[in-house]
Amino acid sequence: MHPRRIAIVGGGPGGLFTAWLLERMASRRIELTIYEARDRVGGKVLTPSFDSAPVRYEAGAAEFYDYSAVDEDPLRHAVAMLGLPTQPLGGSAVLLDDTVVGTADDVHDRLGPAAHAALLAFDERAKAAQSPRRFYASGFDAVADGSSRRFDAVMDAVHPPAARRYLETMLKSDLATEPCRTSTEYGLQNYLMNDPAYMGLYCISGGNEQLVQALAARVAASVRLQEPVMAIGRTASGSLWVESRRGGQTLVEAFDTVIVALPMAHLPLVRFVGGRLEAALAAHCAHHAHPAHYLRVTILFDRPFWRRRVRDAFFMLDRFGGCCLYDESARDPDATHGVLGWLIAGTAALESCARSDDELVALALDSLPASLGDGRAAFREGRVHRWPGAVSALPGGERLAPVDQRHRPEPIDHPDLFLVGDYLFDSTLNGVLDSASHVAGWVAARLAEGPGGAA
Amino acid sequence: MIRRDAPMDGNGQPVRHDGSGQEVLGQVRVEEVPVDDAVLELVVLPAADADGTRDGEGQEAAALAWVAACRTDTPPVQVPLYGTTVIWSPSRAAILAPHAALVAVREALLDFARCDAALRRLEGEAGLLLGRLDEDAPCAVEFDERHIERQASLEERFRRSVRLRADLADLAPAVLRPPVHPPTLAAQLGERLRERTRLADRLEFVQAKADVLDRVYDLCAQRVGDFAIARRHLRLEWVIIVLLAAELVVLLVEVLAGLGTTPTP
Amino acid sequence: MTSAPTAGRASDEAARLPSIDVLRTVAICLMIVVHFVENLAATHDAWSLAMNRWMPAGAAAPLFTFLAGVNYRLWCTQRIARGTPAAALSKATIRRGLFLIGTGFAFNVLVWLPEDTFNWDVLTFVGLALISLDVVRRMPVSAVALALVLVLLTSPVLRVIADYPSYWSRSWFDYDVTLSDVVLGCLVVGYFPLAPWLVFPWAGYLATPLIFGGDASACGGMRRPLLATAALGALSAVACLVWPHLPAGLRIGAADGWTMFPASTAYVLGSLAIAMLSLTALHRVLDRGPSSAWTASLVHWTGPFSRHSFSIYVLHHLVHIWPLWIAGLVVGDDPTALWQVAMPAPLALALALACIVGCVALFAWVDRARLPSLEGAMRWLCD
Repeated sequence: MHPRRIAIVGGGPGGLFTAWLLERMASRRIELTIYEARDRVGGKVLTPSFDSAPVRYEAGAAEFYDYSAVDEDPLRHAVAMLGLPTQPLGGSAVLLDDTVVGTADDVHDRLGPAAHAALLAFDERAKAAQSPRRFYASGFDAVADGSSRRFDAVMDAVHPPAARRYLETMLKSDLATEPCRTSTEYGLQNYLMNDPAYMGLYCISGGNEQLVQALAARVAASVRLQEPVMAIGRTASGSLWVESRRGGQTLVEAFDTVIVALPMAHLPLVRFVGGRLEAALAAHCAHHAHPAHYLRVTILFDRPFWRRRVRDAFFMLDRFGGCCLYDESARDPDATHGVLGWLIAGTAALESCARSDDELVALALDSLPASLGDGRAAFREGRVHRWPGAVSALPGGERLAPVDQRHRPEPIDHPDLFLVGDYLFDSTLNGVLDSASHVAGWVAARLAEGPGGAA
Repeated sequence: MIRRDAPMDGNGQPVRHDGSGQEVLGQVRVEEVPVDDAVLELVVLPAADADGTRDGEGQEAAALAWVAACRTDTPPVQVPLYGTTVIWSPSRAAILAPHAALVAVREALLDFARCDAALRRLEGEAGLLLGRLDEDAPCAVEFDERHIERQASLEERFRRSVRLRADLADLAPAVLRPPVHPPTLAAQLGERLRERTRLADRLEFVQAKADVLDRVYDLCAQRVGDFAIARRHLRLEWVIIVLLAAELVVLLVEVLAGLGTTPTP
Repeated sequence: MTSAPTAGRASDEAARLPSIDVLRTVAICLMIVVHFVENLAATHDAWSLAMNRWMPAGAAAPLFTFLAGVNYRLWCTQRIARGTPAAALSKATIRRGLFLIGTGFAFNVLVWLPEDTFNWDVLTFVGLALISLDVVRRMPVSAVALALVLVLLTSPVLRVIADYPSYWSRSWFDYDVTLSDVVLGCLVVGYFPLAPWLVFPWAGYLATPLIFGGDASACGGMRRPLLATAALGALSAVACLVWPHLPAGLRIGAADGWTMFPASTAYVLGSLAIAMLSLTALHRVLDRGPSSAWTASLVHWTGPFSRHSFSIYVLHHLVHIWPLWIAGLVVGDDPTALWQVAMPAPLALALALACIVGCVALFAWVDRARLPSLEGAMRWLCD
């Protein structure tokens, strides 16, 4: 019996996870083809090096979320299965006007007792709103809390202003949007993810890109780099066709199953042919297209001059509307240089995307508080990575579709076309693994039940 | 708790820094705080200013030298955090912190030191017991007359392995204490000391050793108990056999004596 | 006939304990002297009669049988330590027991006379005792102690039931070759019947850890064996002194006072006390004390006696009984014509001493020349 032909559109973490899981789950022979528009697989998981020194830094996904303190964590499990060493990341410092606010004690001492009381009250409220277990399950819930309240209403209630500013700066890079554009639940979740009882953070020692490289090395699929998919439709014989472009040529191939694992921003670039399918995808995109933007500026310094005051793996800065500053060099115990990475999020990121690299590097250097040290004196090299619209998340209050519906937009005429993406869960790498796992399990079950299947 | 004046040098001399002749730390109070079954020498130094921008590097180096001078197997662990520095080794520790944070940081350090000392003691105990495991393991499979002399030592080690397990259970909540949120300086320092000294991992390793010890000595205890019961039963059986044999001999002699006196026809 | 060999060379392969060698040598020398004087001169004249009365006639056999139990315990401990399986140990024990029983019957026929085949002399007793020790080895200590006490207490009763005096009306064991007499001889009324003589090897087996320490090879303390000795001595004295004053209805088994034939309760307890005390003291002095030239030479001279006690037992009978039978046939047509009247006691004593000297020389040569002996034959056949 001929193997079932399966196409995966997109060679990012979603596509690679789907391929890896499918190969492990399939009870019959399958032939996988992965289409990737770029010259590398891995998508937003990217660990390049500087030109002037062999020093790595994270240009995309900076960290992974660790839910294992609460319950099973499939991503942690997958990382362990792939044999990748990890290290925890931690940091609680917020730099406000050149003042390091590292702990609740600092909030009390430097922002005042009222701010401290407001912080504790906010913390109480967040913890009362969501238990760690509910926090863990929130990505799977078919329905959000239903509240139409936006997070800015919660933030407006925080007094004095110093406390509000502290919290906004702390949350901004996680939200990747403005409080007025997200829900109370999502905003509080972004606060709670700083609490180790809810979640931890970790990275892969030696670079996060090792994860996608390890996946790519273990997948037997045929990977077609620099071959973007232009259109998908159904043939007269009942299979699905995929039209791609390679070196100016248009190629069309037929598949039994097609899995589209593209970021939300790239989904409209593919033409879905067929009345029902086109309408379903349009509705899907309209529902899920809520782009959030990131911009990463990473600078190589001669030495980690800031460590005298801040030693955290990351800390928050009240510049660029609130950004997260990663001490990339803290991830490598043998690092001889200092590397700081600015993660600018939301509107500030979108606006900054238009600026030149040099301008952005200069702005980043200017944003460093004077008390940390003279960044310009230690400057070696700056790199910029723009991720506009790279993430998409439903604004607060919007209903989440049932999990199956999210992953199979048109079940009547195209039951063999699936979608995978982080935006279908919580817009994280954990979410994309959940999504890939759901689709891989589903496709594997259909393979077993279908003609020639074991069942 | 004992307080005494002591120089800041392992050799009993005041610590001097960078050859300038300036006494950096001078005469400071050294507390001797009992932690588990050990004693921790503790020095608490208020920082010059609350922002951590004091000229504290010299003071920090002197404190590090004093802590390192105690010559333990464990090199000193130095945790600087937001203007506070804690330097710790199993027998000496120093705190350099803003005045307001001193009490809380001191408590956090002592709390950690108690956990570490207790865990260190249990690691030693587990090591000692594991050293005897090869010798005792055969008794977990078979215990008979040949091993009877080892019964007391097996019972002793069974008791110690149970005690080890109980102590570990007692210690685990302190070692695996969930992190405090929102984080306080003292809690963060405590957590970082726990992380740096791998308390949770070490606890897990000792627990794994305790699992092995449990398994072996539990079986040994069962075998010893079974043997004791079997021996009691065996003794009773033999006593009955002996009594029956004696009765048989008496009967036999009676019968034979009767035969001897029967007149032959 | 008051002699007793040991249970062969049970501990030959083990490190020899000088205390056991010396004690066994003492017993052998006593045995040779007593046998020579008793068999050759007991009733030769009034002076010989008086001298014979003072012979320590009942001392050697309890010592030998006690040492047989001690030796067996040491031998077992060492074999087990070397990893010998229990089954192999039992086989070797039973073979040795059967070898001694077989040798004992042959001895009875060849050295004494065919009508003495079932007189249950010491060789057959030690053979049976060895086999019994193989059972005792598996029994808990408390059960062995109970069995020992039962044997001791029931022996007088059994003698009453079996009518012991009727077998000993002519001052030797006089039996018919019937099943009842043969079995009763073995159990109760022979020269060395199992009741109560089993007490000696069993007590030796039980007392070994007390004397030598827990593992039967280390040095034990003195307190416990001395306490046991004192208790046994006291019981013996009570039995000896109080028994004759008891009402006749309570006196049973012709076990009054201190008699070897039958072995009275006082005799058994007292002999045991002497054996334990001697071994404990010698162990303290020779095994645990500082070694000196004196102890070294003692060990040197007693070694051959101890190693060849079985052979010496047989040999010294041959050298004085066979000439006695031959001379009896020559003088009066009856081999027993010169029995106990052959010569005056001093001459018999001199011959005994000559025999001892001869044995020393002979077995030193046997050892040097590595010549075969009864002990070697037993080991070859049984181990």
